[in-house]
Amino acid sequence: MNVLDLNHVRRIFADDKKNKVIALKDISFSVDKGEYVAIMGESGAGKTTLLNIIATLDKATSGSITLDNFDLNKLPEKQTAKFRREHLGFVFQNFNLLDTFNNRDNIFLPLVLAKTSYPEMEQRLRPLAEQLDIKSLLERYPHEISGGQKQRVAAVRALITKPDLVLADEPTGALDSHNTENLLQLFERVNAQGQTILMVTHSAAAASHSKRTLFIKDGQIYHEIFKGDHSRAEYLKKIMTSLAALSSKEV
Amino acid sequence: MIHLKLAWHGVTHHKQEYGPFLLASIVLIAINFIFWNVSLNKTLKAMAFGDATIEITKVAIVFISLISLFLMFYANSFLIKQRGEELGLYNMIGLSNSDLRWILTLETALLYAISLIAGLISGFAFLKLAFLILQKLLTLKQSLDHFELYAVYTTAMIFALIFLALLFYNFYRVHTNDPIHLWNQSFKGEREPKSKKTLAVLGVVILAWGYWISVKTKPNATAFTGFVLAVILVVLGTYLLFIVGSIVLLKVLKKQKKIYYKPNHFIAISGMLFRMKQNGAGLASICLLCTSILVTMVGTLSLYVGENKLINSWNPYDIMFTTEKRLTSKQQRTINETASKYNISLSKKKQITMTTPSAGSIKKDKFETNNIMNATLQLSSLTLADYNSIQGTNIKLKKQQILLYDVSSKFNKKHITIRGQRYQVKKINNFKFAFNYQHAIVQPIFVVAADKSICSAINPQPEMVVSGFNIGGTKTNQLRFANSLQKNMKLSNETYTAAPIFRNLFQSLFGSLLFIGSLVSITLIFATALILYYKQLSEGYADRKRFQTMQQVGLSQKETKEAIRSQVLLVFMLPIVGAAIHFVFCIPMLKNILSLFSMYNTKILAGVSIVTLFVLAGGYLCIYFLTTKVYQELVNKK
Repeated sequence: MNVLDLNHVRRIFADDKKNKVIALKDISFSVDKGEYVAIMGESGAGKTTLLNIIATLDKATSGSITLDNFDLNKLPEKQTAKFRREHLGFVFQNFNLLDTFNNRDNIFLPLVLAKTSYPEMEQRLRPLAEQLDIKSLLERYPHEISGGQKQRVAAVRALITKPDLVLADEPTGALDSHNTENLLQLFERVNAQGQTILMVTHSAAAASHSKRTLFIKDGQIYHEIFKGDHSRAEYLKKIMTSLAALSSKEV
Repeated sequence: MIHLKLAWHGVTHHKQEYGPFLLASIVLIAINFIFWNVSLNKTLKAMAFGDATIEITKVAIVFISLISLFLMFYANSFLIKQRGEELGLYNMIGLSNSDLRWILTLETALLYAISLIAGLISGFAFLKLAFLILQKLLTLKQSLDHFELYAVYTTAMIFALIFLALLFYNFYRVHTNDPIHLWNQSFKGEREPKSKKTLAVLGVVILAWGYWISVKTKPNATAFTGFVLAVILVVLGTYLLFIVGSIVLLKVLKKQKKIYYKPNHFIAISGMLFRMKQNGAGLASICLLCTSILVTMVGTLSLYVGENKLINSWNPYDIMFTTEKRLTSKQQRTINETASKYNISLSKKKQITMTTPSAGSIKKDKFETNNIMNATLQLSSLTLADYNSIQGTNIKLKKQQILLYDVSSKFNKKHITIRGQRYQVKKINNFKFAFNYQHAIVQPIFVVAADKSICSAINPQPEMVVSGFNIGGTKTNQLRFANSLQKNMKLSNETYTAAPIFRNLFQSLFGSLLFIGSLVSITLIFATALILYYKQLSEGYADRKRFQTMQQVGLSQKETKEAIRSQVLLVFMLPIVGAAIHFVFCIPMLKNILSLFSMYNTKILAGVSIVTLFVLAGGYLCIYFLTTKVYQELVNKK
């Protein structure tokens, strides 16, 4: 069953008729339930635009996009926020934790917005906090903990709503290698339990934890690699080769 | 050249920040300019009671200058915080500290020039209107309209000094910051403030004490000291409660999981908790500013509106004086001669004998004599025969019965004990000779007894004769007559009271008080608006990131709006509600102070209070809507 389906999605930014920027030319792909997909590409390839459209923060100019059987193009503006908190979980490069909330309340934020009762929130938090090892951090504030810890808190915030799809935007961008490895293993574990993940990243190492990697160039899907039965090292090698090809001029 | 360019850029590219700053300095300069013109006005100086107006204006000038200084510093500290980032960047890309000083100097000079020119122009424009209003309030015939060059000079100097002080402060700020620090200034992580329960309780106690003094103080000579003490306590209590008490309250709310984990409360409480640490003082200041606007306006308006009542209560007859004995025919002649000299007609000539008032107060139903410092009343007695002949009535009294007249008609008991003797009281609503002996700050009370022996039992002071009559003629002649009669009759200021003189004095006193009170209130309103605006602006900046993250996580535009509205409304309501409560508790005090001016009319006070409160709340709401718009725009700006 497909969680996400994109068909000939096109996004054009136009200030006026003369100044047109084609951010996404023609994108089609789908993500199965329980998949873990990485999207790679250089700066300006259209990754952010793609992510924004999937996140309902932006709308495609043409083409169709369905998420969990909702046609995102037909989703009224007023319902996008509700849709986001019910169907999507976000992990950002800069964590985007709020300094005025302690970590527990940061995690509760999407649930509070969805008017969940307090006992239910606590109940949902307990197993996740255990699993992601943040129990001791809950009463502290984001500015009192390290980057790696912050990203774990942010991951719990993304997962606590039991989203259909977790969108991760360069989740390891602000982390050191040790914390990067920890977070990626955590994503793998969560994915193994059935969580669908879509991750945008610059890092081949990060992508090598996924089950499938898509390469974007000039607003189009350029290439696609499956992990399949390959070992992580082989998969990583293939990603590196594709990246080298992607950045060479003659393509 | 580059300095000038950067300075110009700094001002023109931060319109949202510098606009209100300029508006405030323009208004302050204009008001200062008007005040200086009033205080230097030659026509006013030449008038009989013009001095009073000028003296009040001078006090107002000092007050306004202090407000200006405080306000400009407040706005500036906000501006320099915002500019810190930009200056840090300049510093990083290679401008030295002296370059930064140059930029700041040029910027300040530019701001000064703009505010001074615009301020003086608007000052000129409103000067004519201001003088016209003042002329109306003082009921003058001749025009006051006159412009003094010296006013331009002093206003320019005062504000030059203020801007210079700002400049040096900014130098200091830039100097003490190294570039990295400058750069990071706008986004510092902050700790959650601690809950200081003891201080919060102390705040409540201090405030309650202040309120208690205001409610309990009697209208006697020591009332003013009580008033000052109450003001100090309320100011202290307000600051404590806003800064510490608000945090305690929010923390308690946060602990209530059912209340806290609701979308609107969740956002508002967490945001406010951090906000109150820096904003508690600001909100307390707004609260106190609003309170002082209310008190100033209600006080001055009540005096102005109640002027005629006051004159009537002091002077039931146009001319009144006391003598030891009944008027001799020689004295009668002097009165008639003076009257004919000034074309004055005399009517309703009356004389009455009563005892010289003794000071005291009424506790429950007992009159006790006090020394004058603690007294709230002065009691005088007269015989029924005298009373009946003055009033043209035919009332009869038994030995234990008395008639009682008090101006404020507060006394409502059936019996009263005076000097150990219990009397049955019949209240009277009208006494033609109800006058304020020696213009005392205490309230007169008159007792009519059956005969002379009871009269002196009630008040064993020597008898005195009070004479009174009304006069007719032109206003100027009345005033001249009143003045020369006092001289011709050799009457001291304590024993003589003339309505024309009082009318003249009160018109210039209360008129100028109202004029200056209004201008000061306008300044205070501007101060309030400016502080609120900058508060909203800085919160908008601080909240932008917060709300954007929340929108990504699933807060809709509509919910954002609601959350902002409830948060802003809470911040706005606190000071105005606080001010209203302060004001309610201030009313007894205000009533006491006004009754020192022999103003006993509660209706006037109530009416004026309600109107002023509504006008202030209306203006406040306007500011609320305007600043909320700015805030929303800031938060929703990508």
